[in-house]
Amino acid sequence: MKTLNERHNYGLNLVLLSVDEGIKGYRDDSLETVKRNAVQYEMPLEIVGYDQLYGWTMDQVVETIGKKGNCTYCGVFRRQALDRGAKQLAIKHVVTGHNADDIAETVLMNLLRGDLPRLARSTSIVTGNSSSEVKRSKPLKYAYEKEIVLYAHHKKLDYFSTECIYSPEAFRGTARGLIKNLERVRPSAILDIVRSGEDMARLTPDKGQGACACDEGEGMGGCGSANGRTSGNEMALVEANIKSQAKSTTLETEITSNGAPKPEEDTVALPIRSRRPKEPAPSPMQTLGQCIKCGYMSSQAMCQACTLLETLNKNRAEIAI
Amino acid sequence: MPGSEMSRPCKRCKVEDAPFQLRTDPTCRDCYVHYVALKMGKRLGQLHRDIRVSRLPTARRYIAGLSFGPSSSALVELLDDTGRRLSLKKSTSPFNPLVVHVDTDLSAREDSPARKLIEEYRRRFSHVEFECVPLSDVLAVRSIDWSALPLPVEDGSVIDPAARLQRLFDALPTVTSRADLLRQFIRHLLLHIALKSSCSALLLGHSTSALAALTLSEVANGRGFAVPWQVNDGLCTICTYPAPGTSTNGSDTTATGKETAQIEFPVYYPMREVFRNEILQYIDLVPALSGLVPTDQMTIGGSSSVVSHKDLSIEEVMARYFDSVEDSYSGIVANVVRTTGKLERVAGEDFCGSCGMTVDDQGDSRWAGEIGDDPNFKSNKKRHAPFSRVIESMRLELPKMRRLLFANSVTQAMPNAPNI
Repeated sequence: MKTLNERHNYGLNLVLLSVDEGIKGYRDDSLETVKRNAVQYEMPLEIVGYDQLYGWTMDQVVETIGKKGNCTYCGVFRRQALDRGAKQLAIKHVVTGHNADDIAETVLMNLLRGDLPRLARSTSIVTGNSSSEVKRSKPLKYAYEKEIVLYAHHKKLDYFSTECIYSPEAFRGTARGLIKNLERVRPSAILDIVRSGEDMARLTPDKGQGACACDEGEGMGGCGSANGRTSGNEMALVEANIKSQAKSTTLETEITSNGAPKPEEDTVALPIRSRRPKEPAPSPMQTLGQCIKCGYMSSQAMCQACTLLETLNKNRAEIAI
Repeated sequence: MPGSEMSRPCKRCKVEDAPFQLRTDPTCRDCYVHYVALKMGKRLGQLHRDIRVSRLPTARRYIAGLSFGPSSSALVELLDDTGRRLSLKKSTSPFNPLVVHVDTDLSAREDSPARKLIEEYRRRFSHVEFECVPLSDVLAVRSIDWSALPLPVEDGSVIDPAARLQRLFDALPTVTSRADLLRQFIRHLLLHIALKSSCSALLLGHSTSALAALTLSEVANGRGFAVPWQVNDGLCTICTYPAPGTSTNGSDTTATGKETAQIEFPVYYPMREVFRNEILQYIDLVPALSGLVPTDQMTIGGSSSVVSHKDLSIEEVMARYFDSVEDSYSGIVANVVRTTGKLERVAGEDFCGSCGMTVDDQGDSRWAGEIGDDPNFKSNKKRHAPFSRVIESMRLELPKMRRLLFANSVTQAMPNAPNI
């Protein structure tokens, strides 16, 4: 990006942003690499840590949760940590290094989990909309992991390639294994899955509206956000207020449901006996709202991170007693 | 699977002896058999409600594909059972299914193993008709655009249709494409026979696991757009193409590859709600099916040990994957099929000449994105080494990002906008 920025004179102001999950033997090493990178590329570096944002490091979470299912916490926290780090630095666009293998993995996982809303939005290059001030993009979406590693290797870039020490237990691991097997059979299968994912996004009940990467103009990128799909933007006013207290995660307060953006109820239409072929029951759409606790965008009343934190803190209290 | 604890009674009928485990509940033998039959019967009833045109009893002549695999064998047994029950009732629509096995052995003669096996099926199941069709009959099928396939022309050197087909398969580059085309041929041939023998629907015996594997292998083949058409129950469009060589008279040479007629035909998967493991258990429990299904069909890929993934097709990789996860995460198998069920069937203008599925008209240009719009890019296609691709994909995305940033800062007038 730095090369391109200078070569084509895009006038971008690039900053490095890293998240420290607090995993010993994995993240501490890679952060060293990042710090070296910051010096090599002469770019400012910001590191946000789980411990300062949430009061939990991943090592502590794994201690509490166990080896299974901890990736849920890590993933949810990291996504929010990136956004918060971006907000601290007044960054408007976060670029992540997801490659085609990652996207294909996500497409398969969403199919395996039956997660239709995420299937609709996970494949778009640019995510984020007018109601979320941080956008994200994945410019390496169409490049195979192998190509990128080769590129980095031949350009003698200083990079870090170790898998997270907790990842073998993750559900993502089975999807990853499947992708690797497919790659051995037919390497292009990875991009084929990405293509299928994009096409299927347009077949979901909300038509993958705006999840299409080629939609341009309006400054919206026309894309669903990574954490909730946009509808009308009724939350824009509220947002200005909440923005000021964005960083404060009040961990102790109880959840109050009044004043919370009401998520659409899961309405299941009663089956009507008819002789015509039945239309599939309309599945509930997800609307973008805000978390009642921290104000972070969410399609539920309380955002995933706060929900997870709540359970974590409950456990911690019990342990303390 | 026979469970160890005999103490828990059957969840359904409360009988004491419940040695089987059915979706976490202890179940007795009769309830197990009844459950599988019920799941299939429900889908069959749904099909009847969907396609009948009047309330009067109408003949139900369905065609069912039989691969000799566990799932389609169980389907045949259930169809036979349904036929026997319905033949006793006078008030209902008459039910006479036709079961067709497509013999994929291209070197097969009159006394092929498939024909012997179909005799055995015929002996056991008297309420369904059986037919065994050689795969080479597919050459007469007009729903395939043969001009799109590397089929050797009929020039007299190769007269035997089986040999022509063999050459076609030899011309295909990978195991995956061979397996894929074979599956398509069987489907086309079944549809062809269905229309010829005036059947009103095609039944395919895929289990939940098989449908999940089919879904994901279609996704991995880049056909995500057509997956709902392939996997969901309902009407499918069949296009007919002109016979090769017939349209060469006159100026109409360009018309090859353009379909001449379209009809809609229902394709249903009655076993879609039964897992593969449950079908295997069912076969164990039903005497009519014992010893019928060839043993190599009972396990996926013959033996479960992986030789080399290079020699497998994508379909096989998927089937193995679901076989391995069905025990530990059986939920995800059903998830895949149910998720596909929620996707909409969006009909494109065009249909694929080979698989017969709908084709997204703007799909290719949408996929190409800005790459497709850039004339310089096309001319530079040859230098598509891996590195240039990485750079290229970033080069294309950066201006887009930049535009977004500028548009945003103008429209929203962010107070803390970065210095750009």
